[in-house]
Amino acid sequence: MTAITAPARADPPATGVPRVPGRLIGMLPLVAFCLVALTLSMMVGSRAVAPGELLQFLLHPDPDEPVSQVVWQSRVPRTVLILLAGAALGVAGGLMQAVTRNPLADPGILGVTAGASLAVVVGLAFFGVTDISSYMWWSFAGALITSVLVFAIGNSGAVRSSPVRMTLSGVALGAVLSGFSSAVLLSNSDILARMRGWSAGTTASQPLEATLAIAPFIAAGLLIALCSTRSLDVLSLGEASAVAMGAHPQRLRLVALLAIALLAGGATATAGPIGFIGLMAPHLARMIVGPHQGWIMTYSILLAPTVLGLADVLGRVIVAGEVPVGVVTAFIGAPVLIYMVRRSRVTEA
Amino acid sequence: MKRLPLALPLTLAAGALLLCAGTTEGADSTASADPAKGGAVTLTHPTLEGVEISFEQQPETLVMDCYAYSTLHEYGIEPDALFGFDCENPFVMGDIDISGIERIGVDGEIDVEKLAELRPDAVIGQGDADGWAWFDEDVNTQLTRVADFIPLPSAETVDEGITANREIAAFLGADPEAENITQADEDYADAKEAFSVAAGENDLDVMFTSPTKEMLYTGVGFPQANLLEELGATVVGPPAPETGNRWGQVAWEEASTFPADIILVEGYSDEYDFSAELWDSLPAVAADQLGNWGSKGAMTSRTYADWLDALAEQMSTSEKVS
Repeated sequence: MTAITAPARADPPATGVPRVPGRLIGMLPLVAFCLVALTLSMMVGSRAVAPGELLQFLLHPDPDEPVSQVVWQSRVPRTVLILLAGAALGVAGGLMQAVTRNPLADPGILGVTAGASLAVVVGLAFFGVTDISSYMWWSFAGALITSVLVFAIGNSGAVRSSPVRMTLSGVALGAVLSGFSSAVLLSNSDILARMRGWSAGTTASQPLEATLAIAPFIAAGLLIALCSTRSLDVLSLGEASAVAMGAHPQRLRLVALLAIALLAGGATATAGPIGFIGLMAPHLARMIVGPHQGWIMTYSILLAPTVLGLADVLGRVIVAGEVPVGVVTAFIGAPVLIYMVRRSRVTEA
Repeated sequence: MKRLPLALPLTLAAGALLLCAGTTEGADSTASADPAKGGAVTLTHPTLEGVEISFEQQPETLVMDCYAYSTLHEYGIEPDALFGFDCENPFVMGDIDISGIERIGVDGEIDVEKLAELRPDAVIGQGDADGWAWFDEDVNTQLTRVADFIPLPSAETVDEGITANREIAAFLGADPEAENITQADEDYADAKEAFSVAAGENDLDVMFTSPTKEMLYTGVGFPQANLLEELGATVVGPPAPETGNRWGQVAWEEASTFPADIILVEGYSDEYDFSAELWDSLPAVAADQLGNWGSKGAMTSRTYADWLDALAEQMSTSEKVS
C-alpha cells in the first residue's frame, strides 16, 4: 500500500504546545500510566493476584496451578486485548476526526462499530460463522461499508464535507444498524446467549489466540494511520489549501477508510462495540500536544489503552461479578463529552 | 383438546392420587365438582397457597408452554397449541414430536390474537397466579382475559414436584394409576436405590452448572441437587442466594475454587460445544467427566428415573480428579 505524503511539511502553528523534545519527554509519563493500567489489569479481578505471584507465573507458567491458570487464561488475554483494542479505537477516532475535520467523530458516534457489530451478528445468525477467524472478516466488511456510507451521505448535497451532516448521518445510520442487530439477537436466543457479553463490549470473552489473530490487521491499520499523518496535517488546513499544496484529499480519505475499517473492525470483532474511547483519547492527546496529527496518533496509542484498561479494571470491582467495559466507558465517556463541550474544550480536529 | 377419555370421575382420580402421592406442601389440588357431569370445576393449586381457579366446565381446549407439555405429555394430556422456550431442545422435550402442534409463540413471545382465536379453556405454563413467568404484566393481563392461567407447580424437592404436577395432570383428566405411570414410579424408586449405592461406593464431588461466556452459574439448592444430596452425593458450589434468582454465580477466575469430580451441565449432550479456557482447565472437564441435568423440563418419575440411572452409571465409571 502506498502511503499518502504531502508535498511539503506543513506543521500547523504550535504556539503554546510542547515542541518535539517536550513531546517526546511528555510520552514518558504516558508510557508509565499505560504500564500501570496494564499491570492493574493483570492483578485486579474477582481473584486478586499479588505482584509476586504475577511475576512468578508470568515467568514460570504452571498449567496445574489455579493462579497461573487465571494469569495466563484470563488476565494476559484481557490485557493484550486492552492494549490492541484500545490503541485501535484511539487511532481510529483520531483518523475519523482528522479526515472529516469533525471533532465529534469517533467509530461509535459515526456508526462504524454498529456496522461492524451488525455484520458479525448476521454472520453468526445466518451464515453459520462460529469463531473469530471467520467473523473478523465480517467485522472488517461491516466497518468498511458503514464508513463508506457515512462518508458518502456526509459528502452529498450542497454543503459537502459538513461535520454536522456527517455526524447526523453517522448517528442515524448507527441507530438503524444497532436496531437491526438488536432485532437479530432478540429473535435468536442461542446467538443472544452466546453474544450477550460481546454485544455490550467486553474484554473478557476472547482467548489469547483470537486476540493475536486480529493483531496483524490492527498493526496494519496503525501503520497506515501513522504514515498518513503528514497528509492529514495538510488536510487540516482546508480542502482547497490541501489541493493547492498538491495533496489528494479523496485518495487520502480512501486510505483512511481502509485504516479505520481495519482498526474499528478489528477492535469490534474481538471486544464488541466499545464507545467513547475513540472520542476521548484523541481529544486528550490534542489537549497535550496540539493539532499535529503525528503526535495525536502517537499519544492516542498510549492514552486509549490507559483509559480502556482503567475502565475495565473499574468494571471488575464496582459490583460482584463484572460490568462490561463498554458499559463503563459509556458511563464515563458521556459525562466527559458533555463536560468538554460545555467548557468548549473540544478543539477542532 | 385431544386427551384421554374421562372414564373415571375426576374427583375419584384426584382422591386416589392424593392417597398414593404422599404429602405436598401448600394446598391440595382438588376438583370441586364432578367434571364427568359437565358442571363447573375448581382447581385448588397444589403448591400455590390460596390459589383456586374456577372453570365453568372441565377445561378441554388447552394451550401450554413447552415445559408444561414436556411433563403433561407423559400423562396423555395434549395441547391444542404451544408456545415458550426450549420447544426444540431435546433435553427438555425428549422424543416428543411437536411437529403437528400449532405454535403460537416462540421463546418469550406469544401471538395473543392467535391465542384468542383458539379460545382455550386454560393456558398452562411456568409462572404464578398472575401469569406466565416471562411475559410482561400487560401481556399477562391480555392472556388472562382470554383464558385462565394454570401455573405449573413449583416445589422444593423433586418428589414434591412430581406429585404436584401429577395432581394438575389428574385435574386435566389423566389417570395417575395408568400402567406407564406406576411403572415409572417403580423405576424411579429403583434408580434412587442404584444411585445411592453408586454414591456410597464412590467418593466423588458433583457440581451442577450452566456455563456461559461471562459467568459460571451453579445450581446448589435446586431440587435436583437436593435430590442427589439426599441420596448420598456431595454437591459442591457456592450456596444459593437467599433471595431472588437462585442460581449461584461464580466468576470464571474463581471456578477452580469449587473442585468437582463430576460436572453436570444443564442441557448437556454429545454435541455440547461450550469452550472457555478456564472451563477447559477444570479437572472434571479435562477428564471428560461431564453429565447432564435440567432445572426445567419434564417433572415426572420417568424423567428422573432415567436421569438417576445415567448418573449412577457415571458415578461408577468416573474417577477422583479434584
